[in-house]
Amino acid sequence: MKVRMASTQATGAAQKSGSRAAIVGATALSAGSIAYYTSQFGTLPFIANASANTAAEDGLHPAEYPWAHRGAFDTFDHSSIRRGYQVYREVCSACHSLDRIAWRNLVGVSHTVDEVKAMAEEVEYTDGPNDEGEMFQRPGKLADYMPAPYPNDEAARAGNAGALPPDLSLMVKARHGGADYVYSLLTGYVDPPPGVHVAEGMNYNPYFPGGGIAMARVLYDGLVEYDDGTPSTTSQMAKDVVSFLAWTAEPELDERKKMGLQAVIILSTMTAISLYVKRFKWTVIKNRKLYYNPPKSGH
Amino acid sequence: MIMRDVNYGWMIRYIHANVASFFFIFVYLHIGRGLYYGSYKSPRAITWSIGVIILVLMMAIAFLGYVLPYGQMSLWGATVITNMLSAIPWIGQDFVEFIWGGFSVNNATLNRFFSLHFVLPFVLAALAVMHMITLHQHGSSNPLGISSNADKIPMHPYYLFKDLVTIFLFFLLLSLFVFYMPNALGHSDNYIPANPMQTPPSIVPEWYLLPYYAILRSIPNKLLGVAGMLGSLLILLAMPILDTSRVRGSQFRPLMRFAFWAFVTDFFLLMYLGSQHAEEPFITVGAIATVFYFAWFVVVVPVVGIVENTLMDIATTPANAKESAANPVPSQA
Repeated sequence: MKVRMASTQATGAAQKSGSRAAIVGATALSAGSIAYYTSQFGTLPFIANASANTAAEDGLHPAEYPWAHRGAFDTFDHSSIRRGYQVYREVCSACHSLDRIAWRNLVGVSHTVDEVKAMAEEVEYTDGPNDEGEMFQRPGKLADYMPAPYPNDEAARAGNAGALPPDLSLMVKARHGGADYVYSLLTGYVDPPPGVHVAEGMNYNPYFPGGGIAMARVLYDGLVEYDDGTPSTTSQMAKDVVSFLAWTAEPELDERKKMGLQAVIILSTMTAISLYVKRFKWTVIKNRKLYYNPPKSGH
Repeated sequence: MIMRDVNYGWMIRYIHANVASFFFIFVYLHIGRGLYYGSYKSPRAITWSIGVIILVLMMAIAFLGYVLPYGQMSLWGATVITNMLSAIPWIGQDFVEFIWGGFSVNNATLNRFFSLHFVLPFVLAALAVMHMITLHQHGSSNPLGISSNADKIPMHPYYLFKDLVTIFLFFLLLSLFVFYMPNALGHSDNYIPANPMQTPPSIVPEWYLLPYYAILRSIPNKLLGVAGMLGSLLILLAMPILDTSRVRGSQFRPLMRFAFWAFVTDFFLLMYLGSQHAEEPFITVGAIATVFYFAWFVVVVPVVGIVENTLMDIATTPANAKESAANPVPSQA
């Protein structure tokens, strides 16, 4: 009987490992064929059809660009932020506000204190009331926030044929695709393809959901003259201003990633140590021997 | 303000937002573990019931908190969820306006949601204490589903040091999210300030509410949809009754193990469906997945238990027990 038991157990174990190998094999085949198919032909057919919107309604998917700040160990390209600020100031700020950024935020990021002070002083801010109860105008200080192009949303709409230019402070965080999307949008203006009707006063941009965007193409080669002599091509300006806007959206990014590495160092060390301590404490339990002393028969 | 002008304010907010997600990850794992090992069975049914109440309250607190940044998703998520109360017959609309403190989600709503988001976690903490007090009446179960009274080891040092590993691992994983992809679990639309005049193209809740959102959308009647969504949580309370098996846990029940993983698959399927637009084929698949969700509790679990019990009875009746009689267990003599 014992022999039979042993042999059934042996076949059982063999069957079990055989079925396990079959499961692993089938899963590997499934995952592998999906990976191969998607690498050859894009998404799977039944998934590609699953979007509720047409491709035009969703907007063209932006390409992935190698941003200087993209990877886990990467930081902002600060000279690009500086050039991007120049593009914002000379081009975008005609219509778009940047409410969450104060002059002081630029200090040490893209400009020196003296440079920022000089830039702030060029703008007049309303302050007060003074001793006579009057509001007065004074030059800007580091603590002042970026001046908005329009006093209120209604004025902004009136100045832009009914369309409201959104605030750009959080723009990169507030759109699917982030920096890639904004860059693609800025450089993606083309003539509408045949058969596509763009409403009066709208412009065609395949990256914008729906295709019709109120903002016209603004960046053209040579529009700004960079201090550092970088050629101001359309793509260069788009890259710089998107770097700048990525910074305005996440000004903490450089420090955050540095702290992340510190956290990983500390916590992975603590995890490793706690694993050793756990093994050390449990070794008594793991190596104990339990045995059962049956009462002697006929006691 | 907190993000930019408070020292490390961004870290506070990102930790707060991501810990909410991790809280749900752990609670879902905990519930799944409870379902698999039959932790809901007597004598721990009261512990399980308090746990279900904790889950429902936790979802309410998470929703209240999600409204507070007042981005587009906050506003429209709040509009969708509070409007569910309007499905209550007769007083529904008045009730919703009472919750809002106005005729739409507005500043008064935001104000009270903030208070509730602050106060209710204390209730949650009290419930967690009750959860543990009731647990300690009978002690923890174990994967074998049998009494472990003969072989107990002290909490200190064994479980303190074992849990410490998980705690550091949790902080490590959390750090990866907070420091490297703080917005991965959120929705980019919530960085657009709330605008009552503009509906976002798709309104989706946070990932942890998606399965229940899918159930809500799968039922075409408003009142039944809301009842179904609430019922999908409260049906967990019936598990001690619905599980007819005499064996605790799924460890030694192959049929129940299969059923358990089918349920887990259905849960993730519903989570995916909840994130998609309400369009074919998602509507049909969602309806089927919803039916399966409820059928699992009401049909699959009891039937599996009855089948197993019956098979066991057949195998152990004296007429069928010839095999075991022919090969008796060696005596200790």
